[in-house]
Amino acid sequence: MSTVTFTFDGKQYTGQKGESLASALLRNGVLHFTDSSYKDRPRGVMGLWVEEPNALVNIDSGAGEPMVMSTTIEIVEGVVARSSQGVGDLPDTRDNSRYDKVNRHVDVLVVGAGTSGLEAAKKFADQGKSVIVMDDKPTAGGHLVYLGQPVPPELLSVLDRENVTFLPRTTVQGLYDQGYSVATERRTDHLDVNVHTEMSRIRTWHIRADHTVLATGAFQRHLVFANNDRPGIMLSHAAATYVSNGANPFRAAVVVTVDNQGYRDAVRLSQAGVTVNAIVDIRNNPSGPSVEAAKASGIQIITGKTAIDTCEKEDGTVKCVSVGNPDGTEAACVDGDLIAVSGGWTPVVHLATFIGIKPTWDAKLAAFVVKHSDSLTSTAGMLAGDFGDDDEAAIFFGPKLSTEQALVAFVDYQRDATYRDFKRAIDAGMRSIEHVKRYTAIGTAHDQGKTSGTVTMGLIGQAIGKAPDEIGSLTFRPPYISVPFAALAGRDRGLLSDPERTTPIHSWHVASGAPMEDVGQWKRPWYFPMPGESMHAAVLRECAAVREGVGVMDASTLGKIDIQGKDAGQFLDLIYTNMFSTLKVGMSRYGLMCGIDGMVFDDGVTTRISENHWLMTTTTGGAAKVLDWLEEWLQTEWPHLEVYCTSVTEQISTVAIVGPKSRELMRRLAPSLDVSNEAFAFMENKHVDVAGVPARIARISFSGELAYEINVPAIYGLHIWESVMAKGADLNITPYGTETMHVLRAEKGFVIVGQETDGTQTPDDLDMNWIVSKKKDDFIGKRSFSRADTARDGRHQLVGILADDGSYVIPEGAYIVAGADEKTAPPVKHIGYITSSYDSAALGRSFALALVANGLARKGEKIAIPMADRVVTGVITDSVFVDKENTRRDG
Amino acid sequence: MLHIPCPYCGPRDETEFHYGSEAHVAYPENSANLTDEEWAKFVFIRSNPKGWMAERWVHSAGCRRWFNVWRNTINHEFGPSYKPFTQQPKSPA
Amino acid sequence: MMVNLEFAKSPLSSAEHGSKDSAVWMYEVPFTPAWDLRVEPGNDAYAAVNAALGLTLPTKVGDVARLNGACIGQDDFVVGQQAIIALCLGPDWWYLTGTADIQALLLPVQEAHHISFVDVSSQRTKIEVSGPNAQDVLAHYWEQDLREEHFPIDACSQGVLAKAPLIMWHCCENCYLLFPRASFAKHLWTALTDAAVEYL
Ligand SMILES: [Zn+2]
Repeated sequence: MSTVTFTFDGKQYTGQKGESLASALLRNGVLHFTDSSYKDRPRGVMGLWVEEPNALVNIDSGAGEPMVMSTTIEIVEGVVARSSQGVGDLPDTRDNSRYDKVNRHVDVLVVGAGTSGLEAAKKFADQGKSVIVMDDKPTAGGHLVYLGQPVPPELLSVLDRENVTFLPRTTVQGLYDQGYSVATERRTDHLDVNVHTEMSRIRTWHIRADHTVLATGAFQRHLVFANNDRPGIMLSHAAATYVSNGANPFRAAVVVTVDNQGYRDAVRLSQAGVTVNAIVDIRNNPSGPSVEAAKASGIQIITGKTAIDTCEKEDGTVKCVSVGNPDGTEAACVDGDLIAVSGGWTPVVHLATFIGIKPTWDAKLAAFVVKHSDSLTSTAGMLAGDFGDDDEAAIFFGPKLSTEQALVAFVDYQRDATYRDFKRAIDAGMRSIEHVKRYTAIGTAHDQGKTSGTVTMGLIGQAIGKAPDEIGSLTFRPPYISVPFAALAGRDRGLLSDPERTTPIHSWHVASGAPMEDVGQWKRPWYFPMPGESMHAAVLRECAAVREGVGVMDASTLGKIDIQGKDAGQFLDLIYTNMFSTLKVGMSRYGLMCGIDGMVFDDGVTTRISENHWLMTTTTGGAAKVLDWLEEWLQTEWPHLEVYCTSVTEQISTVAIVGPKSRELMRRLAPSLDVSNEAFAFMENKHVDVAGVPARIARISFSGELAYEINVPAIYGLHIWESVMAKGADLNITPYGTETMHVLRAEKGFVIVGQETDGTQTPDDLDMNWIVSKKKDDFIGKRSFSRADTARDGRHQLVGILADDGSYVIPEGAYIVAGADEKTAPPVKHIGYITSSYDSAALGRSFALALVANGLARKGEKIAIPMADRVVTGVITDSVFVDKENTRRDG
Repeated sequence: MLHIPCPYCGPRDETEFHYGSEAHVAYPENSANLTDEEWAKFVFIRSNPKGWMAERWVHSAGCRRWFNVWRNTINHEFGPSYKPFTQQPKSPA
Repeated sequence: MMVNLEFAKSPLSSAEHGSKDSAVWMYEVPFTPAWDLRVEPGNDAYAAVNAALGLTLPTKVGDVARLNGACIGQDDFVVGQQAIIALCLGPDWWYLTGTADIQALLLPVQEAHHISFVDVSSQRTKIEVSGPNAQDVLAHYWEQDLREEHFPIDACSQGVLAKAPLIMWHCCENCYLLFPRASFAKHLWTALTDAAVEYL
């Protein structure tokens, strides 16, 4: 065992490498660890492990961590800790540690590497199953380790088997449905160099196990008597373990017990050199081997009595305990600088309750236990009520206390919740643990009632004369102990927190300095600023270039679905509101899809490549949703249709050249192609080589301008883009981004699904009645158009809005109030809202699209828009602002 | 995180699937002849039981198949899954 | 489809991480032709496809059939000149890849039968992950069972790795071929190289 130096509250100490910080502090004679959260009472360490309610610290060394239990920190050279008064203190420095995650499937997961866990692991390993054993402590062996006893080799050796994986320092934080559990493994904090650039500090394990064995053991609990919180008052098992390991600041002890565990701990204390002045046992006739052993070692045993109160020394640590009858009478002090309390065992039922298994009350053991076995989950060891044969506990949680005593008798140490608080809850009529918990805050601190839960239920029972299981049941929720967020995030931080989808031309956009807009997971260039140019100026320039010259846009993100089969036309007629089966080969058509409720769901252009072969485009964000939708109808309603759908979104890269000069550019790119309007009409498609690459050119326009979309296999996307830029240089070709695309389409009154729609607009609402077929018997959504609500008067309809002040761009989302002369101060009734709003180069002023109640019948009406600092007035107009006659698309 | 039994691929993580609401709600053949009430019942009304329910999922990130499966809405337990247009297995209840 | 390398660019520009002898070796295999095939098993079209390809398309989702083919990435592996690898992705859906001119083989079938046969060479790229710790790298993200008895050599599966949808083929010992959708390739590469850091 090597010695290490560590710092606590600015003072240097030495301890033994690997022992807990709590143990090392006791070894150095430190009893007063911190003060309590609310009442500033001196507190020391109570427990041995994660049940610790008091001794919290902030760690300032290594990765740094707020609010950790000093009982769980393995000290290494240079650890710096600060006492924490119940409030976390995040380090200022950046945590450069790594955190990661591992998925693992296994036959059997055993939680807990104590004797019973190892036995279970051996049983399943013998059957040839793959087994993972997890234990939150550094070594296997459970209680045997605390007792300093060897783990039987035939059990320990199971961990070395090929089909067994042992993960120490690994805490199962959550157990969920179907054998799914999540655990965190501390991998570096205990190492000499504990900040690693390669190794993750904490690894989160996601385990799918066919069977999970819970062998989680038990915690000792305390008793509720007056001044039961002074430093020097500890759980007896914890005290005996520290002392036996040489961390012994005590001279004389009094053991206060309700079971035989107190006797075993008394003997251990005595053997370690602490004078045990008395064992105080609430039971009248204790028996069993442990009792006999204590008697044999000459320890005085006081039966039928318990601790009532304690006195303090000048430094605030405990001096003596007053021992009396359970009703508080005949109390007299017995000296001890250690008061070791054995209030009974509380099995760790957490994981079982996470999946809805209810613990049952075992009156003989005075404990909630979980005896459970089914195909997914089973329990073993102390959790299953196997306490050994030498344990029979009194059902006792604390003596009768006076009002004054109740004020300083602590039920939940971390929350400073006292017996008095508890009593007020009972007096207020609360009986359920869930109510008492919320009234008193008992069980809501970092330890989540690991020690105080059963104590509280026992006290309720004691107060109203019922057994603890008649009060309710212990229910816990994950995580089992507090977890740094970083551990749960793992690698899902920064760039990896969500995928960035990019097109083949992305590198060009980035190199050109275009800021990116997030469109779903896609990164799309927003606009392409010249040096020093503002976004507003850049967008006006890009818009003007498209309307007067030629622009180029990367449209590769559009969703694309290849549709094949002899019934594809019929299928598209059912999916779209308009007719597709009559479309000629080589032609494209714009289509609108609705849900069965008649509301617009997605839109796009679909092309008939050949008689039985179609290519559908969807919105950028709608591709996956639309494919699911198509498959749903094909697989679950119309399986007789011979149609196959295949996603080709990333197969095809699309470069759109747009504007009056695009014809000249297209001619240069594909000299063999007749680009005249007669030979290559609007909505027509041509297959031709472009810049040495096979391409499909489509005359599709989303801006109203003459435009060609060049579609190539995506590996050639960048090549085509660069060819377009080179061949268009002397035409002053202007790359443009999503913002310009939005302005151009809005000038034409083209909707964007998701911007002009929110799932409550019919085609009629969007003034798109022209796209709803009157000939077809049925299509998805048709029947809903005649529903009373869909056909009613007063629905929001798509219109244009022009503010009287053409230099003002109305914010999108702004509410519209009827009548410029009407009241515009709240409360007002709004008649609609702005969906899209831009400044327009073509119009020389601002404009907007809006959804307005009965809007189509209100064109020409004045409206007002109350903003925070002014009232904007304007007029309702048609939704098409540029080229109402559609003359520009042919150049 | 649910582990959902795809009848084609076996049990897979919930993240691979999309939910498709109650199973066996067929698209009416004669929608034009339905009253508004009948049509609204098809569009909007689902049984939403407490306990076992036959529901639809699509294995979006896997085989892309829509299928039906029994699920207990109280405790997320899954019963048998089955392909569309095949005999529905008995409720595990 | 013949790839004109003069003009083509793969999503990862043939990136490589690690080396042949390291614990993990990952690299992009660019420009491998691939097709999505849809056909109903058991009918005439299915028989015609099998006859044309010269192999029997497996009908169990996750099964793989190969003709002349080994691992398609590395030079070290023997790749037949007429290799075809067929990954069964769905009950009527296969991903076909290899060195054979699959397009020429299947075009006549497509003219005579109800099948769907789509060039998806650009839809996905390929990343080979191999080495003693290959499985460990994948397990950082892949939620499916990678144990040998559940995902043996020549099993394939579709799923989500680091939130990127992909097809995974366990092509030989300690060697996995990933077929991510091209738009996710850069993200996936960042994720894989980050996960490999502990092993390199
Ligand atoms: Zn599936």
